[in-house]
Amino acid sequence: MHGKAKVNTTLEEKEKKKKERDLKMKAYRLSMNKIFHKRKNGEYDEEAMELISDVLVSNPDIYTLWNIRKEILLTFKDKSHDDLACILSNEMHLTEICLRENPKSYAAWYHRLWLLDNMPYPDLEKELFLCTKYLKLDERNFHCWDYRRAVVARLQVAPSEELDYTTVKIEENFSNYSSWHYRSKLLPSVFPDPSGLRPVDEPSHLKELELVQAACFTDPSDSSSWFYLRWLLGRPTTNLGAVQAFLTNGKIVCVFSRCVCLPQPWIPYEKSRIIWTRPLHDEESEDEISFTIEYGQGLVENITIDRGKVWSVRPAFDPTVSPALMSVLCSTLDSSNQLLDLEPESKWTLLTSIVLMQAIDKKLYKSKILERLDLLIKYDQCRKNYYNDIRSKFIMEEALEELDMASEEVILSRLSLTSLHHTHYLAFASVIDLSNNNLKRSLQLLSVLINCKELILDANALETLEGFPALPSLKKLSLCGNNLASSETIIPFLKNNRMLQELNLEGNKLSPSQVESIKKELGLCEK
Amino acid sequence: MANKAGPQRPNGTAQAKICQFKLVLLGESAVGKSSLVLRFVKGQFHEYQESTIGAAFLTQTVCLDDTTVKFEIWDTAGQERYHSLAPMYYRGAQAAIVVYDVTNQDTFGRAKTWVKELQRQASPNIVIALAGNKADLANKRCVEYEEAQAYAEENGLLFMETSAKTGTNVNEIFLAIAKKLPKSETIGGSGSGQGRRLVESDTTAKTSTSCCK
Amino acid sequence: MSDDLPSTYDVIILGTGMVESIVAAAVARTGKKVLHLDPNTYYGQLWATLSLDSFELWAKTGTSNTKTLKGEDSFKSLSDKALKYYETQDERDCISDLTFNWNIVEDIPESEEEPKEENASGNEYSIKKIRDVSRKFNIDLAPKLLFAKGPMVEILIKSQVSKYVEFLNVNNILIYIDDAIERVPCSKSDVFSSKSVNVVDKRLLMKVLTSIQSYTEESPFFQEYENKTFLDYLKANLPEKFANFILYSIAAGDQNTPCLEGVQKAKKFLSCLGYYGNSPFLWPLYGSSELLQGFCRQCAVFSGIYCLNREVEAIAVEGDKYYGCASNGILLQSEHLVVSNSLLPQQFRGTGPSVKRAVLITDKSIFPEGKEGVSLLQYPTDDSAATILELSGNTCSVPKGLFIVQIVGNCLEEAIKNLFSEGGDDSKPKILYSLRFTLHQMECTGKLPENIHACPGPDFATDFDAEIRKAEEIFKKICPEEEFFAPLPPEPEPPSDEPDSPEEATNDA
Repeated sequence: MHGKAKVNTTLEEKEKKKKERDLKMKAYRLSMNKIFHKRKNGEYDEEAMELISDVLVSNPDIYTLWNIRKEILLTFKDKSHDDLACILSNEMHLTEICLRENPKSYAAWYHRLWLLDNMPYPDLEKELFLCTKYLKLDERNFHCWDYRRAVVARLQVAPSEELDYTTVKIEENFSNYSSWHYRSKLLPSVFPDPSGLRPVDEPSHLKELELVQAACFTDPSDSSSWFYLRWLLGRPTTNLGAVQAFLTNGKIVCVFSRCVCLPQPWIPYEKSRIIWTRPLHDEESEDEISFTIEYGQGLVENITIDRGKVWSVRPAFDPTVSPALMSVLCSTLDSSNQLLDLEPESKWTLLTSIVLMQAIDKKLYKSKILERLDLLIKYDQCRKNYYNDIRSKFIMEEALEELDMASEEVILSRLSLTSLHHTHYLAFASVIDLSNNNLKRSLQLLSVLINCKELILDANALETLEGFPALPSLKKLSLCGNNLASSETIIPFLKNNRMLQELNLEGNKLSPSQVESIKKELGLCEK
Repeated sequence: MANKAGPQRPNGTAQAKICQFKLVLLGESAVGKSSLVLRFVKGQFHEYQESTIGAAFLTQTVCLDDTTVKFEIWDTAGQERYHSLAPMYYRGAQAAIVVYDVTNQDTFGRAKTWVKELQRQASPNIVIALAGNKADLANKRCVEYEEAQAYAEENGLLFMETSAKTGTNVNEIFLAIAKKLPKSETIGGSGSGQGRRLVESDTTAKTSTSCCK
Repeated sequence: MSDDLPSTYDVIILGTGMVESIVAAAVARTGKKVLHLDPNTYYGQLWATLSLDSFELWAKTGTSNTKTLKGEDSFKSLSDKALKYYETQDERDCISDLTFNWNIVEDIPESEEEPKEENASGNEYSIKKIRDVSRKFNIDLAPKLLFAKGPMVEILIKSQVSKYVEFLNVNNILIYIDDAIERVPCSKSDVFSSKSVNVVDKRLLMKVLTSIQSYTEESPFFQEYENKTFLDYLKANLPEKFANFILYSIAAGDQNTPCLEGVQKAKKFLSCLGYYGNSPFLWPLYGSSELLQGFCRQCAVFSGIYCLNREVEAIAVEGDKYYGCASNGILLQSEHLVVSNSLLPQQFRGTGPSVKRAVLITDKSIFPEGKEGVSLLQYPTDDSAATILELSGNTCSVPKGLFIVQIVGNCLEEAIKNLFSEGGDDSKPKILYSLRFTLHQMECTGKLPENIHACPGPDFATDFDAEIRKAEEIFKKICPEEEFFAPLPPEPEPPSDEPDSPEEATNDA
């Protein structure tokens, strides 16, 4: 309180304070005991309510007490309408007091929402007004944002009104995950994109980009706006369609660009829903098969497979961008580059510029993209793995787009890959060379290599084979020059891959006895 | 201060509306303005009341049926003595008590001047009460009740004879004012509601709107 | 006038200007007996806030009506002591070149008023119509703003005088640049939402604002500009337009402001944002003089005696010490005398720097797209500048629909010409009434007895920082042992019926 002399805490004062605290503590214990006692005896009455509210007012986070309160309130259902209305309105008031004590009390917010749903006539308008008032005091209280969304849903406020509200809040302070996030939820319903390629329709998309760029430039170190920008640019999903089809082991294999659902007799391979197989019908010949495949609403593909060949579509990871959007992307890139001139170490700017360059023309910008990824790794060491994976994805996409899909042998070596992406495009390949990369993890993604007979993983950084999938065709695996130091994960792998005939483990850190036991296990495979 | 202003117990009756009003006291020196306030706020009376109270203003609440009326009571602090009351004194005042001494005819004459002054200086819808104080000194009375009442009626003022010494009509006159005040929810809180009061800045500082954080 | 004033005090204060009033409250709080006098019928002298009637009267009273001195002999009878009497002078000497005029008709005949066209241009106003609401005007003679975290705010809170006054944000910070008025983006949210700043300039602007705000004495960033101007620094880092924004509006500087001074001033401005809304300045409802009235009231609450409309004709000095004041045929005695420079006897008073001021009543805002309230506009020119403060109806200083414009600065004629019209041009605000004068600062030139403390009148700064400093300096001389506005002992609080909160208990449980 202003204008009051500050009291020095003497020993005496401290003693007094301690006494007060002890007293409070005692009172608290006493109340809690009483409450639980009453509950045990089923004494759900006004006195219990009062005891509970007294404790809650200063300790709004005690879940148990709120729950007991709910139990008691539910027993009040038979009271007269007026009484009940009065009790519930008092109850609302109690949560309000508790929220004043702690505006971020999960329990109090939750109780309030529960009340709304259990009141005969909740005053939702008032609740909305209250949210607005609270958010004025602290626009970053996400509890209040959550509650607001719940109220808005019950009140059926037009999303456009809420959108306007987020605009106001963002203009007040854009360093606010909650309002950007809310915006990203509202926009698609207010301005849906007919093409389905963007999160929102084109004019709104352009406007949003402008808005969020202003925030990014005003404070490039504020991550909330960058997250929103990334959401806006977000790689629009690739076009859906079949990308590969071939025969193997008397089955038709069909690979899609994304997950799909196919009718019987198609069955998903390895639960992935990207690769589907079905046995050949009796009347179908392996020389030339034509079939029609229907995936989803009105999407149909007519496929013909020649003997021993693969039907394939060249992968395209970036869908076509409309000229208007392209010009926005380009101007965003321009300004990002200007921003980088001013703030060369701004990681969000670097990252966003990379995303933009990928969307605009990744071939043209290849060296720049890689260069900036190196910078990111340098400036932001703690997210090194993340950036490495972005790089791997970028490189792999490029390599896959270049790939001859009809070839049985795929070479993806010396690409500094730290992770694997889009491996389903390799489903047809029988020889896959991934040597001389930096693979340590993401072996699970190999599970789609349905046709792979020979897999070369020499000179990577593998320390374990944990998660290495079972590959139905795998005969030869080379793991030379990795960091495998234990047979522990290798033996289970061998048990899973009984087709394997050849396993090369040279240049690892395995002891002779481990090598011996592995050989033994491998011996079992051959038979 | 604000966060400690304890709300009503949640399990009692639903919380009453609280309205706050600025009330100013006017009248000649020594008619008993401060004594009236002290009687009302603290229930005390001192025969030889110092001419000032030594506080910015005192507050006291009056409970009506559905509303709690909180008075912010301003005393002249002696500035009226040499006709030096600052215009600030009248700003935003929603109620006034003009006090005279029933044993002193001059103070009644001056009270009429103060009423005129209020009508000139204060907001047009101010509630004015006229208080004939020192009603306990009936034997020395110089201003007749009927005379003052007639004047009050003519000018639309509330009127009571009061005694700060015995407490007669002190709470009553404040209550009467409270009843007459318009109690919309938009008034209330501190001040006129048009501007903002200063508070200790570190509690309101919001770094988020400042430049760099 | 009755002469029942007691005759001895600890401190007599002559003049109710800002510094005098702050000293009055500060001294009275320590328990000293204070008499506070003013020759005028209103508070504030040259700091006063006046209704339109009083303002017009003030203007008509004119300038330097040099007082005819009575001669020392006329005071000899007041005391047996060997006293020397110095006759006080008139504060009106601070004002020169005063002109005023109405730019509208005297009265509009009743019949013409009938067609209701409230929103038509200003020619429907008449002098009579405006004078009828004279009391809705609160016109400042020396308007000043408060920095949200400046010393005035600090003292108001510390003293609790803040309880008497309400404030508005100065919600439009503007600059006149390239023949147009623009809003100056000051805070992060301003920079973000400003449509007139492109994204790259947003970054540049933020970078400069951030460096200024994080400035400390050791900041290597500014050291290379040690002997250069603030403008040099700004131009090296920003497009010229934004350099000017910061120089004139945020740092309130000019082309010659040295870099470090500019950085410090701008830092102060920026550090005041966010405390009371998104504006560094506050403006008191009903005008600046509310503040000094608040301090005077506090002095009165602490038993200070107030007497307006009371002149002190002469200051009596015994040897080299001040003795008392001759007023209305009696001698009022005190240990100390605090006196406004403007009232100082001619032996001690000299004329200091001067500045041109103008007060306008207009019918439209200079920045209609801004928020209603208080606007601060900087008007820089090549060799001079003007500062313009515009108050709208919600400041309680002017009836709704009209505006008070306060202009300070020697290029004010140019500003008036470019920003306002005298009629004809409907796009600009029309001047309904104007008053112009030159304000001279009076200085204390002679050597005063050490128990006389002279207070400066209004200076030309936007804020009250200098006034607070001066008041504290004087206070320290009168009460060397005391803290300036030491907090009061706590008022006994009403017994609280809050339930004991066992909050600590849960932490242990």
